[in-house]
Amino acid sequence: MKGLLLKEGYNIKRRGFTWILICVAFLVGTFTPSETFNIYFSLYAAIWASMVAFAGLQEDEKSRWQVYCDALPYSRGQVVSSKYLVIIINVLLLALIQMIGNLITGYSERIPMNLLLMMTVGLLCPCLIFPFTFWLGASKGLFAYYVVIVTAAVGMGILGSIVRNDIPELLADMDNSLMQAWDPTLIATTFACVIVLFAGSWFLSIRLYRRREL
Amino acid sequence: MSNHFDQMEYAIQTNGLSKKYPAFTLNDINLTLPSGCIMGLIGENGAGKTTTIKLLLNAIKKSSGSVLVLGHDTTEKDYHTVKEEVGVVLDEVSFPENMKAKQVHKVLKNTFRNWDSAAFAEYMTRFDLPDDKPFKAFSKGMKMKFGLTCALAHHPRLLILDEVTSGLDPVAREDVLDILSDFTRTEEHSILISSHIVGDLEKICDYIAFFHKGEELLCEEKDRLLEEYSLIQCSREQLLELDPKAIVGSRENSYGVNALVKKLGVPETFHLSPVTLEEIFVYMVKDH
Repeated sequence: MKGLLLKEGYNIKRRGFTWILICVAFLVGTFTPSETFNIYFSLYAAIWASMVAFAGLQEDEKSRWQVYCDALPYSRGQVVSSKYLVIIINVLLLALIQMIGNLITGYSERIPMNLLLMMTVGLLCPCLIFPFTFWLGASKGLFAYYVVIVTAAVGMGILGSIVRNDIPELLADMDNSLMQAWDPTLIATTFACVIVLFAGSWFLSIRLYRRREL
Repeated sequence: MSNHFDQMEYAIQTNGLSKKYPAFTLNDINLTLPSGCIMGLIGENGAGKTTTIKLLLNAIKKSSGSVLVLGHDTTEKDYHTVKEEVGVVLDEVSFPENMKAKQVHKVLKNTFRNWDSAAFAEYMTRFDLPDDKPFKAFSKGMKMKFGLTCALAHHPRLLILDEVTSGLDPVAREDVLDILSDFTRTEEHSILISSHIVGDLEKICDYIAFFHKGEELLCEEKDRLLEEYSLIQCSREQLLELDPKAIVGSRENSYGVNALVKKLGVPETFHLSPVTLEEIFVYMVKDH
């Protein structure tokens, strides 16, 4: 799988250069003293970094590299795994940069929570989208992903309005709402769930890609 | 991997191979490529050549039948490891467009156990390909040559080539055909090559398979084919006197009738002209 990872590295180096710039720009925001801004910038950077592997998938589809991969001594499982490993490497790298940023600015107490949050979000987006893309291809997969996310968001909104009757007030006071959700146990539990979800997504993507005809 | 190669007689064997799509069916393909030989797949666009190649690579799932490549069934769990011994050039050479040849070299060097950097460099020089240009800057011919370079550089036992000579100038085509002929000088080396440029295949192939609309019209030794069939020119009445089973196809013109016939079924009174593979194919397809 070394060859596949090397190829991903070249993809990121060339095609993902813009993404890296965006991540760095967002990470600069982590140097702000405001805790809220710190979180926002970290999460945006995590989302951008995790989607680098998705950009690679789009590139592969455009160039028909996926078709050529079937002629190489790699299993479909290895092809999928190379993408998931890229996500992990990207997210860990960003977490490292985040940690160094927090150490430099003297906000070392934020490190555990910021890292947990960043890795949670960084892993969550691709683990939701990747099974769709490996099943349907990058373009159709992205469309299917948006349909599912919008449906889930609308569904959760409706459910939320049934369970709680103070949603407008919560949204108006977003900062306070976030601070209330800033519970270490909650975040750690969410992170653990995302790890399980990520593993499940990986397994599902392999199963779906094995069946796909290119 | 077990010692399949020691027992192997055939590089490729398909038996009753079929693949069904809503608008197209590849039906009952029976190919046998002995080791050390070159087989040409001839067919018009959409005849099923690329579909057959994809089935050999297990890129698509067969609907029925069996496929053995280098002695291994394509449905085996570790079938992808067989591709260490297979060099492939597809009809569109597919590398990420921003990658350079030297980067592709590093990727493939870390992919194939038998990758030979010296052989890669030698083919790059022979084909006059640049090391430092992104792949998107390559012409179609350059892409084909680069695909062939990558296919040859890991010393495969079997080459599977899909339209590898299309897009090449005549000089480059001759060079490629020479390389392919040299490749099979080693007894274990075999080639499956598809093309609609029949003249190229006639030069190098030992076996020929004709595909038309998903059907295999024939799979035969080239020399035997050329020996078995002939062209005759005669009147319509003379043609009607012949055994219908001997007539493969015919075309009328203002001078009479040109017909492709099986030599054995034609009396000696007829003047038999040598035939090319292209003519055999055209007459068979028109009559099918």
